Amino acid sequence: MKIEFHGPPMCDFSRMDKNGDIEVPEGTTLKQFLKLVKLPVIWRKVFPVLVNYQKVPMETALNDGDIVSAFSPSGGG
Amino acid sequence: MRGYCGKILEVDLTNKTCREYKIKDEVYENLLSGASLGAWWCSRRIPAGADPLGPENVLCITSGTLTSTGSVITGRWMAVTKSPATGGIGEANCGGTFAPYIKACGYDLIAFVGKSETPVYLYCDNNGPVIKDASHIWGKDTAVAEQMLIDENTVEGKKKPAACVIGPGGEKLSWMAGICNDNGRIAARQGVGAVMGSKMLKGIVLAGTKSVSGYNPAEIKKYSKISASRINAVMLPPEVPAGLLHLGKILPELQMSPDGIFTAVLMGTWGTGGASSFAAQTGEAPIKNWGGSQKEDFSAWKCNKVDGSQMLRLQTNRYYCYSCVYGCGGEIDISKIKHNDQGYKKVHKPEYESQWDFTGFLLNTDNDAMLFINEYCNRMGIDTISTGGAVGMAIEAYENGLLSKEDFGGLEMTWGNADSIIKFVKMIANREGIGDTFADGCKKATEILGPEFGKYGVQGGGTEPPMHDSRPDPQQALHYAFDATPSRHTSGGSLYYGCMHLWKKVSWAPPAVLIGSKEGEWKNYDEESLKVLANQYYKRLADAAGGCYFGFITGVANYPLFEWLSAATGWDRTPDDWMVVGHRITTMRQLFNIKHGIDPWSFRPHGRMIGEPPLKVGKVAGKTVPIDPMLRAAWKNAGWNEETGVPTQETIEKLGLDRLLNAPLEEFVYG
Repeated sequence: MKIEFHGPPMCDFSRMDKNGDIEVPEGTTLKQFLKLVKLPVIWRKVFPVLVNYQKVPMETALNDGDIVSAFSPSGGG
Repeated sequence: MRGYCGKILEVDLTNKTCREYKIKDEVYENLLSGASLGAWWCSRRIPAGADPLGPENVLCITSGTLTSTGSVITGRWMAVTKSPATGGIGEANCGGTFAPYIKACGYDLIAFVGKSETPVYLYCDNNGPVIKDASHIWGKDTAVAEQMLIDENTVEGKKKPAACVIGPGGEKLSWMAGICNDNGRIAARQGVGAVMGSKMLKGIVLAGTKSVSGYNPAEIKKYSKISASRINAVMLPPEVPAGLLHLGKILPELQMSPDGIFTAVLMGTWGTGGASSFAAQTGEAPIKNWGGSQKEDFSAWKCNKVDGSQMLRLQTNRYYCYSCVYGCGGEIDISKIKHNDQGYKKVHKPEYESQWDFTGFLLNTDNDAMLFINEYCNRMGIDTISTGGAVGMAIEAYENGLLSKEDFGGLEMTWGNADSIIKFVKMIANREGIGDTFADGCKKATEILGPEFGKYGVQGGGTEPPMHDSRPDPQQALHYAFDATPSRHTSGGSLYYGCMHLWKKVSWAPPAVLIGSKEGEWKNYDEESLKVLANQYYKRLADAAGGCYFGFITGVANYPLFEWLSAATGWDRTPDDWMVVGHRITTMRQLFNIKHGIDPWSFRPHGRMIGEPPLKVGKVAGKTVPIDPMLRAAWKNAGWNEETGVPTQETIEKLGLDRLLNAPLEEFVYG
């Protein structure tokens, strides 16, 4: 299944296709996914991680087409 | 109702008369209201070649289609006019609490024509408009004048009125003057305050209480709840370490398209100024009047000394603009800072632009000086971005021997010299000595002083650029050059585009999976220019709606502008349909400029903004933006002549602008 991922620059984006999706096995949990993209544990403990724009438990199984967003510093002014 | 009132009030300050125009739905169906209605009214009412500071110019004060309908983060008001700085369409917008009062008086737009012989202000409530004497507040600073106007028009037992005013900068016709509300918030850019001053109009006081609604209030509310809950879900607790501000040092330049919702984290927690240190470390913030680098000229230690967290020590409370749900605004107590010879106390926290303009941009590490200048400019009613640019030009002219200590009245105009910078800002604001030469911005100063000064007068199309370096971001450079109101950071940029995710709703908007490392991407000018056009059209829609930039960069999933517009108007339109409206507005603004003799090539940015020549050191070293082919691609994809930037007749007709701009006005008004 494909997961759309938005994350900070230190993550591993090597598996990402040109549409911004990452292919993962069915049943992958959020925690497993974040490990796959190498999001530092401290990062997800301090900053928000969202699935489809909502906070969910780390053990939540992802579904095809889900959007996973990990905090990435950006702003405007 | 469909979000708009359907009426324009035109105030003739020469004859002291007011006339109400009832506007047919056709205009709103094509343009919505807000800034685009202002641009349409300016297009219809200002004759070609009109002097921006003469009685023929029209100043429009307007609020957007979504304002007061129940949508969130849609409370901006806009000033639209012919700009003295650019000679074309001028536009500035502002938050605070003023916007809903315009529609509460029953109008989408209040236009001012003519010129009063003596200072006046407009008062308007449910009973209609009255032009009143303003002699007693002429010369007062913006905060004092606004408070006086509110106090003298407050009726016990009734809702307190709202007001916007100009300061001494506008009265003295500085092309850098803006219009202020809420004690120092300012619609700052492109000399809109000078136009107001030229009409001897000191302020506008609004006390209407009429209600406004959208076509489908329940639908609007539904989307507002989604938007508010998502933004609130990502807010950080205040104890999160300020170390986040230094992430720019360790994060690589390459960045994936972020989820825009997280922009609310940074700005909701620290305000826009919280990004300054980060911006400096990544090359986003220009240094030393666009001529230096963080590496050589403004060390990490210096960045730290002036970064956003320093201001938070003085913050007494956060605040929210009308209809906002994340609150990037804050008040700080500056009563005990150095340099405060005006006795300022509780004031607005500086925005990023002001903060960086008077620190790293001028190599100044005296944070107190920056805090004082920010408030001083707000009180005088002048734009901090343009003022900072003018100071940068003056310093370089001094450092390179073009101007002497005597020319500056004894000031040593050296980099980072806080005392001199403060004194020179005062000279600009009061048009004293050589400050008068710089009070109309870098372009005018270069015309007065000579072409050899142009190297240091960084501007594009007559507007000083903001604190967003366009050399590492070609999209940003193209926005600066393409926009009919040039050199404005709120037009767009690659980070903003990456945050908005427009491609998820607009069929022709190219995706931006990868942002930040853009050199390779720019080989495809067609595709990249489409990103800029999508961003521009969307921005035009937001300005027509009264939307806030900081709302819509949270992304189309979190800031449902298209859905709100459809619910508010009751028109069943797709995002693609709405983007046609954005295209129409963009083209109409360009046609205004063409009508007034602007050559679109003249908005080509100053060499330093595009790396001509490139810097040799720092994050943006070696980068030159290929602006000419980029501009041609954007013009072509907008349906404009790719060599001249003039919209083609085919495009004008396809967008219905031939009729909107040229059919007799009587066909669009009734009653």
